[in-house]
Amino acid sequence: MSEKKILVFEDEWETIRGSFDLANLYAFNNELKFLQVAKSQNVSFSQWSDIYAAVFVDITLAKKTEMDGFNIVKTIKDRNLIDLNKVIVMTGNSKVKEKLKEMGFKDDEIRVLYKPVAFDEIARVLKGIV
Amino acid sequence: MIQSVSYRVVLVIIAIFSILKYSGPFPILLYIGACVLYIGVYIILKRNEKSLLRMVWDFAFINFIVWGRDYQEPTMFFLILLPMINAVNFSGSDRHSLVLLLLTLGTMVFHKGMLEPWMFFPVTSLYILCLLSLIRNRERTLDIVITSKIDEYFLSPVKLKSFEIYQSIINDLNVYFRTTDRNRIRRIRVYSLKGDTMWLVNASTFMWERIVKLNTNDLELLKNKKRISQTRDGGVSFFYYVPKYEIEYVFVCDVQSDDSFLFHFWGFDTVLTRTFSKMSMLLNTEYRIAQRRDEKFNEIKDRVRYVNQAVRVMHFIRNKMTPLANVIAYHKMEDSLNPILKNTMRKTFNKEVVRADNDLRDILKYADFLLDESNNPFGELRIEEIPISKIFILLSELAQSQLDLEVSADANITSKTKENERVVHFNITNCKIMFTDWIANMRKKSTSTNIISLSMENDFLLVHFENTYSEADGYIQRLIRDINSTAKDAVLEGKNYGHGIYYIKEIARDYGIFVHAKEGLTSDGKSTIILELKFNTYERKENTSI
Repeated sequence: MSEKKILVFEDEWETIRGSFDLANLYAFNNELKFLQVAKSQNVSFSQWSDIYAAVFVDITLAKKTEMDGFNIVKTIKDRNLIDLNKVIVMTGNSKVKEKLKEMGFKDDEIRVLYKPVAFDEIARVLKGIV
Repeated sequence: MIQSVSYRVVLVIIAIFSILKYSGPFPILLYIGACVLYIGVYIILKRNEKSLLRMVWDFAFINFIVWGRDYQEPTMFFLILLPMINAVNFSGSDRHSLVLLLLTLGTMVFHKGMLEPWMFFPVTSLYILCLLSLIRNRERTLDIVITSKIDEYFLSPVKLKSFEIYQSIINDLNVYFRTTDRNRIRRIRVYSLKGDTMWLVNASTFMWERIVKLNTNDLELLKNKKRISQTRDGGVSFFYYVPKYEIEYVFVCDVQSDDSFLFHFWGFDTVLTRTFSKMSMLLNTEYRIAQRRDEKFNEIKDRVRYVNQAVRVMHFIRNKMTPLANVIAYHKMEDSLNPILKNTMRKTFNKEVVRADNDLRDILKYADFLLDESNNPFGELRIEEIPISKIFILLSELAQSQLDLEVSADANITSKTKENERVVHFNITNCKIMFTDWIANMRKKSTSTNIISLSMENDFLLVHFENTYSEADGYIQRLIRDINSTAKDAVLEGKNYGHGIYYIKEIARDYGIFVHAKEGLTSDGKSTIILELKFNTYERKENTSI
């Protein structure tokens, strides 16, 4: 993979993009490229393994999104779009892990980052994946 | 059933009386055999619900008894007329009245050998009585059927809408009025009258037109006469004015064509007025339920909106704290960064500082929204005088529904009259939250014993909760220690008890209620946890309606 693309499902990108930009500079020499989408229908749900190095999913997305974060991770798993260890859920809700468990995800099958997420945390997570 | 059997018993008794009093052409044993056979066949026909055959069988028996005797003897004559006399009192709908008339006249002619004019007088008189009784019974039966349909609305486990029973009532009315495809009742519409406008409440079929305007004359006529009719394309509409409490209902019955003569023969207006009066009660019930639902909705909507807003604000604040988190993270590692990287990151970092500064202002603005008392519908909770009996009722209802448990109260409490019972200064909503939280815990954690009691200790009301538990060693002791701790957030320090204890302590602190937990033992030696709430009580001041 020549260019490392990171897909980010986030409806308030401007607020959190600083974390991604700083992480990119801090740990990846600005070599990562972030593709941000606010609505699930703005991206094609076909094979992602060859396109994206990692996927960040915010649980709460734009009002008109067809799928929220929970449904996106479920679709990723059901269609085997990408390795689940390359999927990171971002949320402010402390109960998200319980909800993921209810949906049939095993403990720690999906990484969860709790907001606010600083750049060093994003850098640390991405270093383990990319 | 009883009437049918009684009638046959009377028939057989009169037959036996006639056999004994008037000599007949056959041996007495044959008559006795005929009586037994009559009863046997009657039982079989009764089981098979063959009413017409039963009537024919009755006349066969009567003819056998009358045969060879003078039918003009009073007893014999009475025997012949008995089926018709019985029909006047008959409560069922299937009378075969014409067959009855023909069989009665036929029996007379059979024994006389010819038809004489005098025969018509008693038979026709009884026949008219029979018809009148038939009409009355049909009305009564229709009433019962319609009432049962309306009862079904209230009692059916499947939730019915009022308009769903209209079609079934229309079917009953069409059967009752013996309508044909040409003149059948097609639709029922119901309006509530406001001024000169009728607003649709509902109808047996979907209606696009929701309002009907009446001119002043029609409106006055409708209110005075209670019923008007209007011809329209393809039929006639009958309007019935049925005021029920504060609502003036107008029921409109749309009939295919104006065959009013046929309808009026069966008391069209009387039947419809009675039917619509019953339906108006049903509509009024629906109206009151909707009214209460709206009141309840208005009560909770501000709270729901506030909670939703609070959730959104918290989500917003968490996002807005990201630049601040970046600033802190950067400062923590700044010294360890090499100068080149530091320089590279500086420009982006500076943007993050500006954003953090702006976002902090936004956060404060949104925090103000949450902290502003005027935005908080929960903040309006005022202190009320709650009588101890009300506390008892609240606890009893919860204990009964959650634990099947009876709450006990000591004599100091139960002996007080309404006038001299003491009150606590509390808020009913918080009171419910507090009790519900702890009783829900008891239900979840208790293994066998549950106790809830109320007692007075000087001027204090003591509410005592006690239950056995199945938690591992140390858990309950830690919980007790935290409940009794005076540290403000002792129970929040990473211990997810799930007991709602934080709220219980917070409410208790706000309203000056003393909370104390301790360990106890049941009579058979099992460990229990006890929670005691101690309320200050006061003389009743206001005439509380709680």
